[in-house]
Amino acid sequence: MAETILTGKILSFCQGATAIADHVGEEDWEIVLHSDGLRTLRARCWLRQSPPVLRDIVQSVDDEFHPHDAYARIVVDGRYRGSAWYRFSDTLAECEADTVGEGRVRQSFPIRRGIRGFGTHSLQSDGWLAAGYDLSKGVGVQRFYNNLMTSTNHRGATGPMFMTTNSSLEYHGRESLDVPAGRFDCHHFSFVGTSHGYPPYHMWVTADRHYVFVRATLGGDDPQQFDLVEFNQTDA
Amino acid sequence: MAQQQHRTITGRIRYTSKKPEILDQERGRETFVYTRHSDGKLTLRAHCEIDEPNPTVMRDIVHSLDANDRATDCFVRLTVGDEFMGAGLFVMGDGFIECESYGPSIGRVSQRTNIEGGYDIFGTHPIQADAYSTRVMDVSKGPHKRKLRCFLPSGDHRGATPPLLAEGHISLEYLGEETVTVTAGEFKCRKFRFSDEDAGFVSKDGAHPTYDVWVTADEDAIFVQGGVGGYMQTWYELVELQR
Repeated sequence: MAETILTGKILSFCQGATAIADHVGEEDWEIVLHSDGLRTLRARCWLRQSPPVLRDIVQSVDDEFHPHDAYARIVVDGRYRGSAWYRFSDTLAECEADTVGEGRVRQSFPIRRGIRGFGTHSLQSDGWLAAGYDLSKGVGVQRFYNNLMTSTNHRGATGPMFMTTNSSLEYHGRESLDVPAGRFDCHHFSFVGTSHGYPPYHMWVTADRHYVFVRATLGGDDPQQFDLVEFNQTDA
Repeated sequence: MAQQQHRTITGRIRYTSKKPEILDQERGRETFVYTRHSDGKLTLRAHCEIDEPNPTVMRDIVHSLDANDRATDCFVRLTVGDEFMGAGLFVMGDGFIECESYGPSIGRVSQRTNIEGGYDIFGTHPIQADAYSTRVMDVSKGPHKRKLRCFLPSGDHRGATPPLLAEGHISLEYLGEETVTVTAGEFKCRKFRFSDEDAGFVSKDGAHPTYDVWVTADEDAIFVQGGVGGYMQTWYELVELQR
């Protein structure tokens, strides 16, 4: 069966609140690495603040983190918002969506290898976006344009379909970080040149081949911190 | 802060074998998460792993139903023999089902099937989904049997073909209530039997063998135990439940 299975849980906290019981959101995720080179992320995300958002994500990338296929389903305030199926080749991204707001949607975009992944608003999926940065070039900013996402809403509470942003990645270097799940050697990134009024967002991911989301901090009017609180890795 | 307006049920099912050479050995597993929304709608997520027989199967399902247990949308992703087999989205509308699918062996497929006369269940292959589908029976009538018209994302008995819309027919019999004890605890159950005496669910292995299931005698219809005879010789047991 699978070569490696990773599982994790991420909790989100409002500024100043770090007690587990005070979390305002949670994400349970599992990643399976298959022998054909694909890795698949399953994530279930609850954003508890009003209006609450329940999101299901199943997305796969190849061995270079180029998106392969994805699925997103969103329930907002207890009501179905939409679901979408995505397929990616080296040159084309396709979306087939059924949403309450837009109806039946069919989209396609030309793409190339080396795009900044596919943003699905799963926090662990954010971690995978960092794989688009060429670490061999060291600290600095690498620009990405027309990045594909399920939604440009800050909470991912619209669509799901294809929407685009121009946010890029700044790499700040390596840091060792303690979170409830343990101590991790991390790469520190931030998203820069963000569009749609997205607040400052710093993110730390493991400095290994998995890009596991360890921590993020979000600025703006509702500053939050997101911490990995459970993590397990099983190698076949 | 607003609270989620849904109820969550999580469980784990162990797959074992009744074949003499691997009797009672674990041959797979399934984890599932239900959310039952305040408006009666329900979403079942299931992650299924079948180790035996070869090739191995890994299946992800996100299947949603409306307040009347009618399927509304379903995502299926399959890995067979640890290689990607396909991923598909099914959207159910008034009188039709659409399928958007891709797999290395089928390429990119769009299907739209008009359905006259309705159907009983959309069968997605997780064991818990089988259990929930028994809600289609009116147990107030007592033990009885009727034929079900089914649509499925795979006509294969293990669901191990690329996601495409298929139709089948199978009989379902309500056999009455029993109290059953499994690893997850003791449950008051309803017992059902799927059977394919009319060969309405034929795959490469022939008609579907008889399949007995015990499900909780409540609105959640949670799978408690069950097994398939014939060439499959499988057994399934609920080992963890939180609700």
